[in-house]
Amino acid sequence: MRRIILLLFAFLALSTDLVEYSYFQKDDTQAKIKATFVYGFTKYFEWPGGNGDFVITILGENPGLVVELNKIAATKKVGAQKIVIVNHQTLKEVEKSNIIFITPDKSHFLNDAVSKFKGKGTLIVTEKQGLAKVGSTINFVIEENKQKFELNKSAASKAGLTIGSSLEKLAVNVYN
Amino acid sequence: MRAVKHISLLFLLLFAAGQSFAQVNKLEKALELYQEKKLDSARIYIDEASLNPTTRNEYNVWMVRGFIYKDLYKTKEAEKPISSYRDVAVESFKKSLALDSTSINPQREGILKGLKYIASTYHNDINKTLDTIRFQTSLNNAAKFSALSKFLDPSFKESFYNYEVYLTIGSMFEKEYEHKKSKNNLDYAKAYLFKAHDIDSSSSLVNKNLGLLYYNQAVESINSIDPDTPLDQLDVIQQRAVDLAKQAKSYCLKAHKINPKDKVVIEALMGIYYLLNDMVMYNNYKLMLEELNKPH
Repeated sequence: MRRIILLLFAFLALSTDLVEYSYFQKDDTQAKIKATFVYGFTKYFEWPGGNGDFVITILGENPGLVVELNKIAATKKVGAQKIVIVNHQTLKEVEKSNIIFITPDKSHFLNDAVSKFKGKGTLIVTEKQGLAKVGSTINFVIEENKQKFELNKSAASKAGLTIGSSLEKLAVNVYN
Repeated sequence: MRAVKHISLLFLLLFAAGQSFAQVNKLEKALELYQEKKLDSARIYIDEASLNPTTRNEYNVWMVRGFIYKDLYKTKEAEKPISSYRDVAVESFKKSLALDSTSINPQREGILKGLKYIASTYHNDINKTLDTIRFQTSLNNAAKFSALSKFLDPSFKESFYNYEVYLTIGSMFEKEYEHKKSKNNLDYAKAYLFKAHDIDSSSSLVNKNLGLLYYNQAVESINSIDPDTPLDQLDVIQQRAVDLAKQAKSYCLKAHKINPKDKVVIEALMGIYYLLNDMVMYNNYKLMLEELNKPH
């Protein structure tokens, strides 16, 4: 009987092919969150100009973010402006942009980027500890395992941007 | 039908036992019809004999009833996952064994063989109804197999068997949930995986399945974000995902401890730590996976 039962167990496992589950989602979860934040920021600033495309530049390597932003660009606009996503590896390549997202490995471009786009209404977004204090207008930080952001009001002012009042309430740190 | 060859002695026994002629005649008639493969008619006679006060406590009557109903099942309902013939056969065989308290029935082995055969059919029928609509039938057949196996062999480990059944059903609902994203499927997946986990919490498989279930929910939560989601709501959604990822982490870590070479679990842990923004741990598991993928 024991042998029969063992054979029966084998039958169950072999015939169902169900017991071992191996599917899991491989989506870039952080890219989705960052992209939603970046698009969300467009609603909290007064953007000078308003002609042509609304350009979001990713300076550095973040393929997941490029993909997610392109998904948003395919269906959304900023006011009447079409959203265009561009990706560069050096600051020299970056031209007119409404938002520049600088990846951590390209943080050394921050100072030059601030100078290059001073007063031009360009929002500079970074994601490295401490950068909100040294020129970035918005800096992503991790708190309690979540993406949050810091805001530097004077950097926004120098960039020629006017911040909507409600954004300040959402930031984890605000620098003047 | 072969059983008939072995039970011709039955007539002699019945007469010796001094049964009333009319009732013996019913059993004799049932046997005759059984030999002629007229199972429906044989059933009528044997049912009458099993109800009659003069024969209802005879193990022979219940044994013959068991064989008739077993063959009715085999000829009419073998493809059906629910069969009353089969259930009656079990009930009759068990009653026959109970009435034969001193084990004098020379056909006792035949009865046990019949019960073992029926037990295997209950088990094999589990797969026939293994879907989100008819899974209760699978559970019923599994319960019948389990009870019958315990009856035949008291050392049979019901909990071990139930673990396999719950894990199978939980995983089936888990797969369905991934296809249809129905909350109902998710609830059933959790319920049955937890039943399996309650029986054996040290199983790599059940910990892995629970870990993947929670992780997929966490990712699903983030994928549900619409671009126009207000920024203050992003924190709420992230918190929900983080809570689910932490639950996933505990199960996947346990699965990994039990089976450190399971690449799916390692990949899941990478995804979990990535979602939790813990890049140190993400990189640890990434390196581990690269190491496992190296050609040896």
